[in-house]
Amino acid sequence: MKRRLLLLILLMLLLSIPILPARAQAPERSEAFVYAVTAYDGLVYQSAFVPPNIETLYLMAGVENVLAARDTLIYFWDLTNRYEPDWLAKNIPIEGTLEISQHGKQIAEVHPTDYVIQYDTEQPIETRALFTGQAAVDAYARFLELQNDYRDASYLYYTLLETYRKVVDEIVASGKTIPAEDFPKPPQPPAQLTLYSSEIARGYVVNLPPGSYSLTLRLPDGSLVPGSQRSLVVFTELDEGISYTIMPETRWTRPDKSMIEGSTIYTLPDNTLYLQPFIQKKYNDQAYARMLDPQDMISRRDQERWVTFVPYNSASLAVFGGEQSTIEMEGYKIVQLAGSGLGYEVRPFDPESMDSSSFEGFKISLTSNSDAVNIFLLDKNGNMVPGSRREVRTLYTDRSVGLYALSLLPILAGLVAHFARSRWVKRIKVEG
Amino acid sequence: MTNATLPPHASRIGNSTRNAVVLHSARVLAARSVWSIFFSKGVYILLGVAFLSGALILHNSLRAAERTLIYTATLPQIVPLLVISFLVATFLALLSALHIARERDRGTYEILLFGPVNAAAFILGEFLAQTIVFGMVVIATFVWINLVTWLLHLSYNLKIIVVLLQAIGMAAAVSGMGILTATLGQRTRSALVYLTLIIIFMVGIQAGDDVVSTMLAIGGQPGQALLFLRNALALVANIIEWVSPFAQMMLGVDALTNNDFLSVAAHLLITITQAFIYLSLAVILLDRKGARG
Repeated sequence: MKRRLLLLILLMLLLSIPILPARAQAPERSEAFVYAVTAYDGLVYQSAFVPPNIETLYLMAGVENVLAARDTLIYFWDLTNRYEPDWLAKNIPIEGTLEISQHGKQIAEVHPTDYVIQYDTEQPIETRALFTGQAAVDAYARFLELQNDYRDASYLYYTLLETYRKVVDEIVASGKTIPAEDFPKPPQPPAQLTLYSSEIARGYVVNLPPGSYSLTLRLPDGSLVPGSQRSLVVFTELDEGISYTIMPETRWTRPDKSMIEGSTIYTLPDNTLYLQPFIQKKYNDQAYARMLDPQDMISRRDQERWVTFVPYNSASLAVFGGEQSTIEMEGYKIVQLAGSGLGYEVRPFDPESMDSSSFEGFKISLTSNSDAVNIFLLDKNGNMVPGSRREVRTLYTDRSVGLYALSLLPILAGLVAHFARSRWVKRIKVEG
Repeated sequence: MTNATLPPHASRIGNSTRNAVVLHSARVLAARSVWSIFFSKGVYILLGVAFLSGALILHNSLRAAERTLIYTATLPQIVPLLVISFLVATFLALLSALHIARERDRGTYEILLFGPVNAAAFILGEFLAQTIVFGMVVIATFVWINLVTWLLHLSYNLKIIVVLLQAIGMAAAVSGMGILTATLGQRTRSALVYLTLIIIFMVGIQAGDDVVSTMLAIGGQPGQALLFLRNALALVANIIEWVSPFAQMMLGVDALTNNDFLSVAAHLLITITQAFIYLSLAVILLDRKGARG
């Protein structure tokens, strides 16, 4: 009886232990319709993935963006709280007609087309191009041709270099003295191929004015693709201007930024600053963030953000205050000081004796004679670049005692008021 | 305002004369309150504390500049100005709530009603007094900020004057809020407690929203709980900003920093509307409740 009771208790204890779920190493995948977005971010094209739980897509206005409809496998990744696609497991493009509507009225039908994105990596903004249809095929063929030409030129260069080395080795081995003008010239390497090209892909090219739209994909048989209906917000920049990266000479590795026009850059007396101007644009925080990452949860609709793009190089800096002058952008080289101690010096870049510059910028030195200057950029035609105006001032950090002394003025005023009232009250005579 | 609350002889006089009587009464009551505040220690001590807080904030910026050698700002004077305005406006709102509630508590308000005073004159008088005192504080702050600007060699901008104008609007609305709370509360203590709780709630939600948003922005991948909290706070903050003069002031200053002068004007207009609504509600409530309500 006792034994049976013990067995029963043991059995109950075993049953009371919660069954722990087996921890799967690979999360469960499910089939889903998704959009793959190739969106222009103001500088380059970036790819993003829109899972079924994201209802709204964000794209920039007035530029060509590409949407691709895919049937793929997705899974939820706990560590990042995000859905991820498994493109390798399944990636089937869905071709049909992308219907775009606004205020309940269809405004466009977009059919899939070939596309290629190309740009010069040294000037991405100016040379960015999205080719579609036959132009995409031609552009990609041209890119392959350039790639082949570069490969052939590189092959030729290395062959000539090999030959050149052999000739030089022979000259050295012979021990002859050859005049410099008779010495063989080394071959010149071919110019780098700076053109970037994506491969030919298919997608729905969308170029819309700012506004709110809805999207849906219709198959050739007339049926709608389940899950393809989404909202689309097309936005534009709210403002544009110039930001400055500011590097103090004695602290060039810790730069600061000045983003807002009319703001002031404070520094200490007798300090030298280097300013680098950049093109920047202001966007709605949520629209921009969700264009780059549709699953973003941090950005806010009621906030704005400045996005910095490429350096604004073709300009000079006008300086007003003290003496009026125009400063040209120059290259500077950081040179480590000789010896075992730490230290460096910022020197003007000299192409004769230096390989490359460490940075390019405008040098501004504030002295005791000129402790506040106004600056702005001048473009090639000598016109002021909008959004580039700033003030640079020295800050008197050694006067904090005076700052606190000034704050005691109300207490003094209160004492004066108190004594004045006391005297006034004393003068009151109560008759009778 | 109804004829029932006006003094007996008022029913026999015309509208323009009645308005003149109300305004005169309000002016007399305002003058009484202004002198009372002017000769009290509280406002000077508070202004001293507010200026010291502003000085501490600026000193902090100086220390940062000494370390980094650069300090970029649109107007370093704005944060101290905000702190000074918030502190003084809150103090004056508490003071106005205290005055109104105490006059009702002690029965002085009932006695005033036997003279040429009605609810509108009583409320307007208190409101005018607080606005005049805040106007004087703004003049003192303007002098202080100019001295500080000269002392530290800060950049001077007319935007400082716009911030001070916004502060006057904000203080008027906060004062209106204080007066309304005092008419809602039955006793002096409860009026002060309600007002304190309302201000803490408004400023707390705003600050919490900012803090959690900043945490999310710098914290990398956020947890669901923090996201939920941020969204809830943002939602409440978005609703509160329509009734909170503090939120309107912050939004106005943000717009000013971004050179969006249209938004600055819009936020100032909303603040003035808030003040008008709070005062109108206070008059209606006091009218309905009467002297002993």
